[in-house]
Amino acid sequence: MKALVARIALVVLLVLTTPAMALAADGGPDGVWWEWFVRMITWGSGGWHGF
Amino acid sequence: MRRAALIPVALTLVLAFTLRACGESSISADLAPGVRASFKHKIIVEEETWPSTLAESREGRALLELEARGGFRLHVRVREHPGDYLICIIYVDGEGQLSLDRDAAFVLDYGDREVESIEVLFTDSPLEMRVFSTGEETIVLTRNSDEYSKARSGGYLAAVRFPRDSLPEGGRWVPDSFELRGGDCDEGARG
Repeated sequence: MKALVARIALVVLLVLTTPAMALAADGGPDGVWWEWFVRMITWGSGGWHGF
Repeated sequence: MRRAALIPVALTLVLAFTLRACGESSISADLAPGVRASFKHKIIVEEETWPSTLAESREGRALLELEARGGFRLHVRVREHPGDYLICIIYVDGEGQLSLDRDAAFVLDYGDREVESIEVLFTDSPLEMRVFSTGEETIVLTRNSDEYSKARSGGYLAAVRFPRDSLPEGGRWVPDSFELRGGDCDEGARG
């Protein structure tokens, strides 16, 4: 049971940190990882204002 | 256990590189103390402003309804004035100030050539009920210029217009460097 919880926690941690990793590799918008999130989430409805 | 741990690690790496491939590069530069500009995105006019394309998605239809109500003016202006457009976010901090008139131009350096902007467009809000052009009036940006709309990141949203087909295709639009010529940057002007 403990091993299962540890595996799930590891997956969750890695999934959450993936965007930051991608941004770091990309050079990203000013290096602010959350801006990447905002842009991704708002692109559909916010368009250019989501940057 | 060791084998099981490799799966999420591999998955994460695949996702990371996929996201990197999908991402669009950007370029930033300091224009003056307290004033920074960042070119984020080359507008794909056909996909982002044309009614026929917008009508294909729910979000696009909402924007067309906004246009019918008198908004969406920046998008409409881009659509109706052919050219290459880049979204630029201009950050003004502290006592920094940036004044842009018809003589101000962003110059993108591609090594073997330079491309100079024609005008810089601003809008009043995300609803885009009004558009302001440096070709028609002087735009003065300070940290608290309430007249002009800011993007989510806190910088002023600007659409910079370049001559049609002057910028490289696709993601190759990112220049080696850029600068602002003719604009007036002033640190502490309002202090």
